[in-house]
Amino acid sequence: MRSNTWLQKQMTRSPLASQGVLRPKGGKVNRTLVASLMLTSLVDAFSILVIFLLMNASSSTESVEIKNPNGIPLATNSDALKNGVVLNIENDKYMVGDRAVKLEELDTVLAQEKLKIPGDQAQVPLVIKASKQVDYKELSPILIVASQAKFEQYKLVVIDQVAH
Amino acid sequence: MVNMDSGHNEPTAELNLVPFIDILSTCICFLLMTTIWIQLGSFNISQAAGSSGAQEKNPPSIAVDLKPSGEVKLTMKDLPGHKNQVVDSVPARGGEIDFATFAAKMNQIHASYPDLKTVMLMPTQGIKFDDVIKTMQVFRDRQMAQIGLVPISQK
Repeated sequence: MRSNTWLQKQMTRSPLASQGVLRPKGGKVNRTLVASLMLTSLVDAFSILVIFLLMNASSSTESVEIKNPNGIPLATNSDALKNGVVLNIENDKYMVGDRAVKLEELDTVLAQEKLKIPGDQAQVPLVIKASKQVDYKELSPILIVASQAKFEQYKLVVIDQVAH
Repeated sequence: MVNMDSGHNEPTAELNLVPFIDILSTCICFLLMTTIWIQLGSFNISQAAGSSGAQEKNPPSIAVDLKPSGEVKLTMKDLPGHKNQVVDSVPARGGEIDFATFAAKMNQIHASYPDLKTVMLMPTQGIKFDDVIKTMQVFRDRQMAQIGLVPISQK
């Protein structure tokens, strides 16, 4: 290859060709071996990675911030998670956002959080996140309180698994 | 860029891959930061709002009583061809809910009464949230998606 590229200066001559008797290619035998960078394989790997990440990207335009998804129950064929008021049950506490709320104040706080979400208030769901080991006695009061706060839709957060 | 080989007149074209790799690297970094690795979903709960008219015919429904012992008691109401309630149960297995037997039982019930869509889950104290989800999963897999959760009665 006789092209005027930057690789030309670094390219070594073939050891076999240099050992030719009749017409050795290249006047001086250059013993220094320099490996050229094969970009084709790198481009192939990058392309496959980009295609994989594009296929994995979610097309949902709504997002619900769920902190620490560890311990959430697993399920299949679940529904999409809509934006709503997120209530987190952890360590025997009811967390709305980042603050712990007492059960006596929960209906007021939930109603206030519901008003912050734009759109039809009847369609604003209460998103309940709890770990697997949470006892139902902690979840039960929420159902009563949420009905007092005029919630009509309830969603239990699960980690969606692909059904086998 | 076309280069002419001095020995031959055949043109050779070179493709500069460096900018292409730059673009791919940028795309990969962006997608890695924005990709959702844990797909969250939700199970909808159909809570009753108000009472239906007394003259309306109640649809077939099944009440599922989850006991802390692991036993599951099934009470079916308003089934076609049955005037009274139909009661069944799934015994516990190893002190926990036997979901395999429960799913098989629900297969039979769903095959016998395909119009049975309404489910009322009545867990009690001591039932884990994971068991509630698994029970709901059994019904959702059989297209019985109208699931309601009954709070623990305060006596």
